[in-house]
Parts: sequence; C-alpha cells; structure tokens
Amino acid sequence: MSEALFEQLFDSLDDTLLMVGVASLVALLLGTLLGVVLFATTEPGLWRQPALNRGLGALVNATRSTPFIILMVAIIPFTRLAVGTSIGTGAAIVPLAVAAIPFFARLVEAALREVDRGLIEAALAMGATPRQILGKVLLPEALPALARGLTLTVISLIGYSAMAGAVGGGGLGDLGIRYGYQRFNPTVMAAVVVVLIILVQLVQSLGDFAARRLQKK
Amino acid sequence: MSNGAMIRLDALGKRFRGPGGVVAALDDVSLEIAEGEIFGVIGRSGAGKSTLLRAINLLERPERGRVIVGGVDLTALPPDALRRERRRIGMIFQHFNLLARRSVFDNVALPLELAGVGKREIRERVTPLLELVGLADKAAQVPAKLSGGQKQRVGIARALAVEPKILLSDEATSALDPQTTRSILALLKDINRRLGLTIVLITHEMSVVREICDRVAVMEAGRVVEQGSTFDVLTQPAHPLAQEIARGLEPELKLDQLFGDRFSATPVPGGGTILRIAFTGPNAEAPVIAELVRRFNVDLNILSGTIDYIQGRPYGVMKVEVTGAVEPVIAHLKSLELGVEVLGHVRSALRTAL
Repeated sequence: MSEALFEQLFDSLDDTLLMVGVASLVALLLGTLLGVVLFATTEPGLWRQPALNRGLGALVNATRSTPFIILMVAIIPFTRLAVGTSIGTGAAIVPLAVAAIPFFARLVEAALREVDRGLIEAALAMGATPRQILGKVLLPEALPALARGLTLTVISLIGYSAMAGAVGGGGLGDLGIRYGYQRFNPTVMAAVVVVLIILVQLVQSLGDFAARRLQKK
Repeated sequence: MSNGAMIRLDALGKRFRGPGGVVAALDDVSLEIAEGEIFGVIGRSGAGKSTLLRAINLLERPERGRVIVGGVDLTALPPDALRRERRRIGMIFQHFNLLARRSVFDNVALPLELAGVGKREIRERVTPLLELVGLADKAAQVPAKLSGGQKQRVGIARALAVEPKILLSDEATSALDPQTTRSILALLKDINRRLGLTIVLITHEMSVVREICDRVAVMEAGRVVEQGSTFDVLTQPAHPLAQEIARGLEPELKLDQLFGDRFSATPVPGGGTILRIAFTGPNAEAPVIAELVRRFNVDLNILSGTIDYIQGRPYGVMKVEVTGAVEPVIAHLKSLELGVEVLGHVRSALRTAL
C-alpha cells in the first residue's frame, strides 16, 4: 500500500469522523428533545397533546421514509441556509443530522415507553412536576436503552455517510466509490472496507460497554 | 383536625369505557376516614378499590364529587397546589415502583429531591428512615439485589420521607409471601402507632384487613356495600358479599361432600341439624357446648371450630351437628346473643342403613 493511499485513507477517515461526529451530536441533542416530546404528548400525566403528537409523528415518518440520497438533494436549499454552502463536508453534515434526528427520536421515544409506567405514577404521587418526572425518573431510568439507541444511530450514520460523496462531502465511502470502484482499485476498496469494519466494531463495543455500565449502575 | 375526618370523600363518581360498555368504577361513593386510623377497602378485582384509592390523591380524578384531605378540597386545587398537597400523602404499591438505577438510599431520597430539600438534610432524614424499616445496611444496594419484602420496605421508607400525614397502600402485600406479608403489616401497624399516620389500604385479602385494619369498607361494582369496624363487619356481615368475604376466613366445610346422600336442605324427621354458632357478644367466652349437652339432652358432633383474634378480640366459629330436639337449642343460643344459623340437615345414619 502506497504512502499516498495511506494519506488519503486518513484524510477520508477524518472527514467521516467529522461528519458522523457532528451529526451524532446534533441528533443526540435534538433527537432526545423530539423523542421526549413524542412521548410526553401521549401521556396524560405529562403533557398530553394529541394533535401535536400526530403532527410531529407524521413529520418524523415522512423524513424517515425518504431515501437518504433523495433527502440529501431535496434539502439543499435548507443546507445552504444552515451552513452557507451546498457542497463539501460541512454541507454533508446537514442532511446526515436531518436524517438522524427522527431516527434517534423514535429510539428515545421507545426507550421511554419501556420504563415501567408505575414509576410515572409513583412520581406523580410524590408531587413531581412533568419536568421532574422526565429529568429525575424517566430519562435516568432509560439511560441504558438510550446508550444502545445512540450506538445504533452512530452506526447508521457511518453507513449514510458513504453517500456524502454525492455532495462532495468526502469520507471513507466516497474514497471507496471513486478510487476503489470507479477506478477498479481493489486495494483501496478493501482498505476502505476494513477501516469501516473496524470503526463500526469499535463504536458497537463502546456502546455495549456503556450500556452495561449504566445498567448495573 | 383531631375531631374531624382526615379524609372525606363526598359522592364520588367515575365511569370507564370498557370492552363491554360503560362501567362504573365509582358510583356515588362517600367515606370518612379519621385521623390516625387504619382503614381498609376490600373487594374483588374490578370492584373499584384501586380507583377509590387513587381518587384520594387525585391520580385518578373523579368525574363527580369532592375529595377533602386534611380540610383541603383537592378537587378544587390548581395543578401546583395539588402537587404540594400530594407531597403530604405517601403511597406504596403492589409492585413497589422503585427506580432500578438508583440505590436504596437514593430511592428514599427521591421525594426529598423533588421537594427541593438540600443534600445535607436529605442525608439526615434518609438514614433514620432506613433504620426504621430495618434496611440501614442496604443503603448502597440497588433494588434488584433485594427480596420482595425488602423492596416494599424501601417503598415504605420512600413514602415516609416527606413526613406525610396519610399513607395510601395499593395492594402492598399482594405480591409477597404470607410470612413477608405479616412482617410488612406489622411494620405498617408500628408506624401507624408511632407516627400517628392515617393509613388507607386496598386489598383483596381478608387476612390483611383482619390483621391491621380498624375499620373496613366492602366494595362491589363501584359502590361501598358495607362499612364499619373490622370486628363488626367480620363477625356480623350484612351484605351477601361481606358475608362471603368474612366466611372466607373460616375453614371450608363442604356439607354435601361430608355427608353425601345423607345431606338434606330441608328438615328430616329424626335426623340431625347442622348449626353454625358464632361466638360474639357478652357470652362469647361462656362454655356453651357442654351446657347444651347437659341441659337439652342432645348429641353434639363438632364438625369444625376456629378461634380468631380480630383487633385483639377473640372470635370463635363452630359448626356442629345436633341430633335431638334442635329448637330449644337454637332458642337458648339466641338468648345468649350468640350468632346461630342453620346450615342444613342430615338424615340419620341408622335409618339410611335400613
């Protein structure tokens, strides 16, 4: 393997890590918020808002059913508005985050629904406010499931980021397609795949470790 | 509030839409529960006991009626004020509802955290509570490591953390074995005495009521069909359901199986009569059986006998087969103010053989 290839591999890894890292962070923040709202709007003891819940649910489903490559192109005006450009690594982060937010939000919602409903009742009986129920009871109890959900989201983002080349985002997937596939270079292709496998493996192990630690407390 | 009711439920009504149509969970229920008493609500599942209990802290808001706790009409309060009042009402649950990721200590500390109590004061208040329930050595454990009885003790300590005036108990012993149940009931009785806590508990187990309740209400289909002191309801139940529940404590005696063909629902000439004698009232401890044999020249065959202590008062029930003239026997028992009831008749064994 040539030195130039190594350099390209590391540059691409950098791009991938940047895209996935920032998109994951945005998904963690906004996805948690959206997931909490999706959950709370169905709960009489928290913040029941059936109309809002249906509206947000429809929006989440629409985003999640749009193929990522189409989503990326479709939201170019928004991307330009958000980061000032529609090409490059920065521009790829926007659609990645937009796709990851509803994905993670559904996982957050599911994690909250897994928490024993008796705990909501107990907290209500203690005179807890909806905010306290979420902050002191539901989210802490759901932490192991949230850690597993975040792991799943990051790994999905690594997959999606391969398509970032379509908007000039670079990254490992882009390297593999342009150098490995289009120029028939099996070494590059194999190297990219190996790096991606190691990356996903690392993320999964880290996520499992975190979930286990949180479970035991 | 010492002479008034601690809890006053005033004409509560609530309906649920079930699969088989609208079901009344609470149908014009009124109750008064005095300060410092242990009040039991018993009934089958679906009778509305759970809805009734949850109406007291408005976890389940009734459609009609008022809930007055400590002189405050909870049904009229805005959400903020209701939350403050709820902090004065502790609650324990059948499935404990402990937070799995918090230690025993932090579970007990939770209601204090919610009330905005500082860290140092939390430490000062949680430790004695853990001692009270006998779990001081388990403070750092997570609930998963505890037995059911220990979990319920944590639940009790948690409920007491905010020094409530009232404790609501939702089938708190139903998931526990009989021995653990007794120890939890003893703990509830102990804190009731020591802290002057008013306890309202719902249960489907008569033994729980007998063990610790001062007064009891029997519920059926959303209505309170009978209420009174535990001793009276258990020894002189009026409503059929109350009778059935009270009799549930006695050993089951299947007369038709015991006597087979000899059993008869109607009197048999020359046969015997089966009586149920309840030893209540002023002559409950009189030596009645021997007297009957001497005075009335009848044969007595004891089929079953129990003696129970309800709220510290002895209560015996005996089932006997009387052969001979039964009317004077019944009249005599009634004159002694003992409970007497004819359960059936038996043909003479001799005559059947012929």
